[in-house]
This record gives sequence, structure tokens and C-alpha cells, in this order.
Amino acid sequence: MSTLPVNASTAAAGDQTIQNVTQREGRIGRVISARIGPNEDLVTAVEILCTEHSIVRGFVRGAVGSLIDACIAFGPVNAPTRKTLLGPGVEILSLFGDVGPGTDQRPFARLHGSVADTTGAVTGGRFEQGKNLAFITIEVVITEWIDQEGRLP
Amino acid sequence: MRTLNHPGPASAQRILSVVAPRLREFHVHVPANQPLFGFLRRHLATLPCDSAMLTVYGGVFESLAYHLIEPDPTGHHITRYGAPIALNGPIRLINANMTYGHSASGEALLHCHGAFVDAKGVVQGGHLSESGTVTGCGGVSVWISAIEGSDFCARYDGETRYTLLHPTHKEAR
Repeated sequence: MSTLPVNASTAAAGDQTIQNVTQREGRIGRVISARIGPNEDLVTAVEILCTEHSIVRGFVRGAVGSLIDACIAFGPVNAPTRKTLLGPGVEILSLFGDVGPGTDQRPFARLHGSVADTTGAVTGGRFEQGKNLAFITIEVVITEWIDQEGRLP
Repeated sequence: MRTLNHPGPASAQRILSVVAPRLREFHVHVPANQPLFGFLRRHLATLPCDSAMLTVYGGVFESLAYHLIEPDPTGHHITRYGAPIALNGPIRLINANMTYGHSASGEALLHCHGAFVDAKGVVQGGHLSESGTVTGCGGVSVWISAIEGSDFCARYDGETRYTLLHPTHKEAR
């Protein structure tokens, strides 16, 4: 990982408050294909999968499935609005996210995407941990990310 | 958050996974007037992969059909898919995720959920139907994360009483 100074001549006007940019260089490693069964939390399951397969950093490439109910967060990071969509059968329409070491060094997943409720109405945002339980099934693919200097401990 | 008990016995293993050593990325443009699922099924058969996760984005459908979940009045399942809802184009795709796997007999299976917006600006989403989903002017783009060494195989799940895609080692198919 390297921290690069922003080139003032190329920084956009809206980026003036940004003092530096953190960048990682690496490559894709192993691929985890998974099915999350009923009543298992989406975010927690992704973290469990990374723990089980010793993935320190990774990307969630997509997911297809359904939730019993959904809880999606949006708005300010420190004071998000949380919207609950009642199912059963809230469809995951799209999902992308990353996994990295949390404050306790265990895998910590940040998953964003869109869902449709049972009327087809669409909501997007971040999937709240512990509040998005699989309904019928969730198919998910996670790719390991290996930093250029090698797999992190 | 509430949990739900399905009609069948719950299996002990709640999260199933397999590891594959390698992923390759492909991009394909699906031209206009193509049945999305049929085109992708033929295209995926030409790629060196056993399964894939696809992102479909950036395009228009001439027609699109999708399903919503509704209670199953028979009680055999908790819910089922309702009748297809057919939309006529131009329907602009926002994005969709699609899982590529196989049936027990080796037939290619595609499981796709997506969000889209009609000409009046109404955003909807759901389970895309193979029948009636045809690309429109300009086609759509597809990013394919192609997996070698593992598959998503369809197997009957006694808990939910549905045939579902399960991650499976290539050798175990």
C-alpha cells in the first residue's frame, strides 16, 4: 500500500479538501463460490467465508438471491438513514463490495447494492450487518485480492 | 430481524462454498434484437470456464419480462414466483447480476436479477424471465467473471423444496 500526494495541477476543484490518495496495487487470487442458506445474514456470511478461506482482502463480485426482509442504509456515514423493506422475498438485484481487516483484524465486509421489494420497488444502499437474512438462497462470488508485495498476514 | 422456517428440514450446513484457483475476466457486447439468455448461454459455452458471475449493464431492452415473489397459496413453499410481468421497450437496464451454472444433465442455467427503468422513468426490479427479454437498440454490455474449476450445480434443496444452485467442485459434478 502506498500513499500518494495529490497532483495539485490535476486535482478537481471538488477535491481540494483531499490531502492524499491511498492506493493499493495487486492481483486477483483465489475465487470463492458460495451459497448462503436461509436465515443466515448476508454480510456476516461473507465475513465467515473469508475467515474460513483465510482471505484477508477480497472483493464480492456479485450476488443473486433473496432476503426475508432487507435493511439498507444510505445518507451520512456517521448518521445513516436505515430503510427496512418487508418480505418475505426481497430480491437482491445487484451487489458489489469489499472485505478487509476490521479494527479487530478479522474480515470486515462493506456491501452495497440494490434490492426490490415484493412490489418491484427498488432501493439501493449499504447492506446493514445482521439485518439481511437470506430467504431461499443467495449465490455469491468472492475474489481474493493479493497485494503486490504478497498476501498480507 | 425475524427468521422463517421453511417447510422442509433445515440442513446442518448453512453456508456452502468451494474454492477455485483462477478467475478470468471477459467482456461481451450483446447486440440488438437478441434474446439475452439465449445469446449468453451460447457465448458462455465458448469460454474456458465452468461457472461465472456476470454483471449486465449499460443498455436497452426492446422487451423485458420479470417475476415478483408472492405467497404460495398451496403451502408447498412459503412463496413462489408470480406470473411474468411483460414490459415493452425501450426499457433501460440499470444493472443486473447473473449466476451461470449447470443442471444435473449439464444444461447451462442462468439466474438473473436486475433493476431497470421504463420510458416514463419508473424504476422496477425483480427476477428476469428468459422468455420475453430481448435486447433493444444498441444492445447491452456484460462483464463476465469466469470461474475455472468450480461450478454452480442445480440440486434439489429439501429445506426450501426448490431446485437451487449449489457451489460444486468441477470433479464432483
